Amino acid sequence: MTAGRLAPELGFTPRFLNQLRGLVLHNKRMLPGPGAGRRRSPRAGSSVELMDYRNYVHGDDLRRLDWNVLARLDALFVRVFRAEENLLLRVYLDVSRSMSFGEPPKATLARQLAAAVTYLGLVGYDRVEAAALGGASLGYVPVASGEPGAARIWQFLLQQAPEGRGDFHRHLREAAGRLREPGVTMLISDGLFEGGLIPELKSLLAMGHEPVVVQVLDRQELDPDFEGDWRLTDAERPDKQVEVTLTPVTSADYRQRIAAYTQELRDFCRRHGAGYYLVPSDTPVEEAVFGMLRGTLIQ
Amino acid sequence: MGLLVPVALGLAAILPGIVALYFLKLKRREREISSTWLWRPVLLDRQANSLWQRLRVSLLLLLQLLAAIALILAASHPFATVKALTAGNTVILLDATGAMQATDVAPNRFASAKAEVRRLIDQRPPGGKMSLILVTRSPQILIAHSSDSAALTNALEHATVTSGDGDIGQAMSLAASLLRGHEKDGQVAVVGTGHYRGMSDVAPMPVPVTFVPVGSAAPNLAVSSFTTRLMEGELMAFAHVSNYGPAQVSATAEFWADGKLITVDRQTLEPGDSRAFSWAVPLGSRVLQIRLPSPDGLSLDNQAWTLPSGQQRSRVLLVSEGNPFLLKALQLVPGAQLTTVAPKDYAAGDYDLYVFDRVKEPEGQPPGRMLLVDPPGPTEERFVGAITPKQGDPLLKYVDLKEVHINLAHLHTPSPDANILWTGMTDRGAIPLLWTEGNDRAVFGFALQQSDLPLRIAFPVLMQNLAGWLLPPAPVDAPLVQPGESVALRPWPTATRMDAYLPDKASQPLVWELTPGMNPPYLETTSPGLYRVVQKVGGSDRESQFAVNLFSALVSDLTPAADWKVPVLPEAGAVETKAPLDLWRWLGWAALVLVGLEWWVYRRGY
Repeated sequence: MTAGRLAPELGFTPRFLNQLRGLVLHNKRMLPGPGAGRRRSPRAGSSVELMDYRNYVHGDDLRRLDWNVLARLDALFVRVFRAEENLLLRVYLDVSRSMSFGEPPKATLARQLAAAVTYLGLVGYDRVEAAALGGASLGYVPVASGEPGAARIWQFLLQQAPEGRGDFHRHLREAAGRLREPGVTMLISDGLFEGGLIPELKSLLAMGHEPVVVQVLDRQELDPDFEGDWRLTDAERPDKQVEVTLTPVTSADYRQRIAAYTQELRDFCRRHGAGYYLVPSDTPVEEAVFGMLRGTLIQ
Repeated sequence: MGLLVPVALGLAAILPGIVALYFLKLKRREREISSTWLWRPVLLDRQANSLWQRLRVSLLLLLQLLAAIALILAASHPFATVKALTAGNTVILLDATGAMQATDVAPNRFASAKAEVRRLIDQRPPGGKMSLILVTRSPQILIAHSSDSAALTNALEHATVTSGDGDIGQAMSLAASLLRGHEKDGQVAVVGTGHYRGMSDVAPMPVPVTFVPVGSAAPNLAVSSFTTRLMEGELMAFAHVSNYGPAQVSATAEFWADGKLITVDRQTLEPGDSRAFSWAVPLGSRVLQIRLPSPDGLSLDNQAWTLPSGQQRSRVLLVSEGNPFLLKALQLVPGAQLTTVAPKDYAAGDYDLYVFDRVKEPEGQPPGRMLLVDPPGPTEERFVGAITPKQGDPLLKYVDLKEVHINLAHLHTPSPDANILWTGMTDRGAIPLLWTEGNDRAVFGFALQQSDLPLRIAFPVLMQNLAGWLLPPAPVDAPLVQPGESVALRPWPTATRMDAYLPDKASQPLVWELTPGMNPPYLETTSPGLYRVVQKVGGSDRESQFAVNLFSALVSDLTPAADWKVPVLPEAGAVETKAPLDLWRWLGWAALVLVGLEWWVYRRGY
């Protein structure tokens, strides 16, 4: 099975895939990786990018001696080059039941974004790991690298149905702790659960991750337009019900609270060098990738 | 307090239903959402109640219950008993005199009085009948014995105010006739200013009479008279201006002649005071006018008109061999243009009066008015003794026959319909000495030279009376015409058409085609001003005018009468009427307000 065959199931066109190949993932911090790649590393290595000079010591490779300096100054200096390494990209997809809400369901766009971002990482010679959080159990696909790995990851993503009522928080901590290696961690979720996303982001930051939050919300969640007498049931916790008579006043109160929550997330991410993107679930994936994410997360 | 429809209180059974419905669990629509995490704090204070949950104070429930109670009470028609002017049979006398045009209450007194009558209509007891009478110079019944509010209101809306005064005697008489047989539950209410003619003519009323005053003591200056008089050969105009207001005012009077302002005078008038203004009338003036330019409570009486005498001249032809007495007497007739001819030179012409002195009436004499003095003929001469006048005839008014003697008279035979004014006693019985025939002929049965009548004061008086009767009349015979008066127009004897133009320039003239023997047309005057009458006589138009002025203290005195009373029979005065004041409208409005408030509270989500 190749990624090209799975693309239609994800709603990707060949043109969209070609466009993705021309993009690269951008991370704000230079993070060391375990293997050589195309991404700049804080460590010295063997790329063509001159990073520094240092005094020659016995045993250094004479090919790196700067002969011009020796001729002019009669001193032995060795050129130090920046290493180019790959990056560990973790993509955590929320597959809890709440992601099935919306028209179209939030899970559709979330899956498409996860697939697009993992593809970008793979074609950029980064190492990519994907995990599904909030399902019956933590599901993940081992680290893959190179475009051929996309099929395995996409197959995994397509198998994830947003029907779980598992513990999102526990799954996140488990997934993040599997590989004690810094990297970019993209969290694609609606962020609508008890306590919100900020405690999870703090955990990721503490583990040296560079978090990127893509919050997918339905427009009804941003601006509910229904009125009257309702019994509202929590998608993931059916015991949490509220009975309410919705009036313009109560609707306005809710709108104020959801706006305050997303603003709080945005502020937290900005303070900690993390990325934050709010994407309505009815946004076409092309527009989300090339319109909202390009220029910051994707270049 | 009481209830007109107490059975409606049974609707109170819905109140527990409202409470039950309110506390029953609502049928809610189901909806799954991503998370109730952000909804819970929003709904913390707004969650609805579970089935039969403990009662707690709810603003919405309270408002709904109050609205329902207000509607139930409105349906039961609660009423408060108030002292009312209306009874089972009420006659309302609505003042429509000129004083009701006063603007001391907005928009004017008549509108305010109508509003008061409307309130009385609403206050009618159930099934109560009401009649409306408009108090004017000739009171009229607008509607009688009606219990239909719509019909009463419609009749009231069609009532219009007049410019004249009102006759309360006639109005009360109409009211008493309407209430005949309803004395026990009858009532009369007079709504107006209380100043009317005929107060002394009011017969004791068999029912209580209540007076509802309209307006207040408003400032008002009025022209109370305006006339002209010859003073030492000069024509003078005299006017009286009265202050009917409660305060001293400085009255400015403008004197106008033929539409041109001649002079302006100013005098200070105390309350109740009346001051005279006088001006010399410019020669040849036809129409004089006085205006009080200062605005006050009533504009109707702020101007007046008068016409200097002598405006209309009548042509008189005296056919005589010479009679200085007759000549002098006819010369003294005001407005007469006298022509004298000898009998041999006589020719019929365009004359208003022919006087034949001892001359036989010519053959083929055209129709016209005629005074024949001792017409010759085959008549017998007799000596006259005592003269007996006809008593009470207006032609003999102020004619004193003392010291009047007649020596010789001819025995004439008047026509059967003749009005014999003087009879003379002869030795062979009584003979007619002076008589009139029809409405255009007077005859002296004796020659003036055979009497000492021309030497007595009675002669010019008698000639004046006869000339006034014979000569073509002024368009109206009343010296003072007030608005609202019907005046009989007196056409020229040979006029074929008469047009009357009202002061209101916009209105169409009234036109009468005149035929011999027809009754004189009547003109209903409406407002003060100059009325113009144009008559077609022969091939030419003869134009004349007459003035209609208010000159009525009853109208100009705007202060509502204090302690206004008319006589009532002893058994009628003690009745005190009370009427239920239905409160359902107020409760209906309250319910509407409460429902609106409840909707607002609901929308606000409190």
